[in-house]
Formats: sequence, C-alpha cells, structure tokens
Amino acid sequence: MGSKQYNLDATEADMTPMIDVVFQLIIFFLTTIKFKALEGKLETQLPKDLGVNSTQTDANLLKAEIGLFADKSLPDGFFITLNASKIPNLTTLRAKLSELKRVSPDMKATLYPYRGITYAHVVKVVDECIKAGMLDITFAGVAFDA
Amino acid sequence: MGNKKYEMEATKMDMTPMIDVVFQLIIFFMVVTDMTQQELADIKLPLATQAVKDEQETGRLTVNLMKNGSIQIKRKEYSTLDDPATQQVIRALLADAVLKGKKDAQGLSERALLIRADQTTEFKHVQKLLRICGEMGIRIYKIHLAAGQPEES
Repeated sequence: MGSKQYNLDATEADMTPMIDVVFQLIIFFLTTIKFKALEGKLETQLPKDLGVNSTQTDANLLKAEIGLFADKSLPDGFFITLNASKIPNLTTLRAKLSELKRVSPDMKATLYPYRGITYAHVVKVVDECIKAGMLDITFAGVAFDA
Repeated sequence: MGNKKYEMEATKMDMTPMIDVVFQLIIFFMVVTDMTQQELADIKLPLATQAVKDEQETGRLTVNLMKNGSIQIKRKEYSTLDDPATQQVIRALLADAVLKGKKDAQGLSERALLIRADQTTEFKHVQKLLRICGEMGIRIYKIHLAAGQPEES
C-alpha cells in the first residue's frame, strides 16, 4: 500500500471577522467601564432591644443623645443638640463627645435625625462621632419624628 | 510625456502584533471591570473622613436610595417605601438574607445591610428602611452607611 499524500499547502485564515468582533468587545468595555470610586463605609447599628424598653433610665446617667434638626437658614442646613443642649458646630460636638467618652469609655452615641435631615447631615455627624472615638453609634428606635 | 507606471504589488500587512495588542486590551478591561459594582447605583455619596475601606461581605444586601427616596437593588428599581409593594419586596429580600446568614447568641442576624443613599436623600427614607430592619423575623442591626472617602491631597 502506498502512503497517503496530504496537501500541505499553506492555508490562510481570514482574520477580518475576528478583528471585527474584537473591536466590538473593546468598544463595549470602553463604554461600560466605570473605574471604582473611593468608597467606604461608616459602621452603625440599630438598637438590639425590640419595642419599647421599660427599663427606668437614670437621669444622672451619662449619655450622648444627638439630635439633628433641619434649618435651611444655617450654612450647613441643620443644627445639632447634644443631650438637649444646642451645639454651635461640629467641632464643638466632637470636643464634647471626646470629653464624654473620656469620662465613660463604654458610652454609645444615639442619633435622633428629625424631619428634613438628609443622609449627608447624618453622615457628617457619624463622622464626627467616630473622630471623637465614639464607635458605638446607634439610631433611635421608632419613636421619633422622622 | 509618457504616463508613469506604478507597480501595484499586493502588500500584506502582518496582523499579529495588532491582534496581540487588542487581546491585551480586552484582558485589561475584563479584569478591571468589577461586576460586583452592578449593585452600586450611580449616586453622589457624602464624604466622610472616617469612612473605612469597605470589604465586600458575602451575602450582604446593598440598598441604594435615590434622591427622591426610590430604591434600587441589584439594578432593579422600586418606588419609595411608602408603597406597600416596595415594602413587601424589601422585607422579603431582608428576610432571605437573614435566613441564609449566621445568627449570634441573641438570635440576631450577623448579616449587615449596606445603605447607599444620595447625599441629598432625606433621612426619613433611610429611617423607613431601618424600621423594617428592626422588625420581627428580620432583626438586622448591623447597618453600614456608605460614604465617599475624600481624596488624599
């Protein structure tokens, strides 16, 4: 039996369709790509107790209850109260929180954002709480006027 | 004057280097395109200097709150939480996340919820979401507030 002879001529593949597809892919990625923006998180928590807490609160107990009230006439658009006393600015809030934290290291900050307060206002206050070393930040329960 | 004659020999371009470069480009784009960002709606976050790097936790639900309070989850849009239908969807999603996640000694979910709201979104919309998180059968208490990190100067 004679050996088979194969035609080993150089065959050329047509690259045009592949290049077309590849360019389509590049255009797709170029138009859809969104580079990751610097994004972080602020950790907060909700009260763990459910419903109204019937425990008597001690009036003398140190606490950090931060009220946020909208006021469009102010440059920041809101003002803050700490334990029902008005605070002139965020720097003062931080100083007062640092002082409270120094006296009572386990202290939690509880935020009471009232009507008209935006997400940016809350983030600003949470940011100041963390700067003051108050890492336990919680939001008030359902009883306040949001 | 006689007409000049040009030799029109067929020239062949070597496509190999171009294809190499093009494949490199495709690989680059495929690598840098983070598909997990599908969860992140295009909103303007407020900046916070204390925001920590967000390690994307598996199973964590991300809720995007748009300027008008409407909700976007995994690119799907819902109306505000004033709409009972939206509330129902959110409850189901949160309950599902809780069901799949671990619970601590107190029986509370260890799953966190990432809230991404536009800086101008009224907090009342977030508050409505927080209320649902506190409901019986859900009880998610770990809340992460998304914030932009200021660029270092």
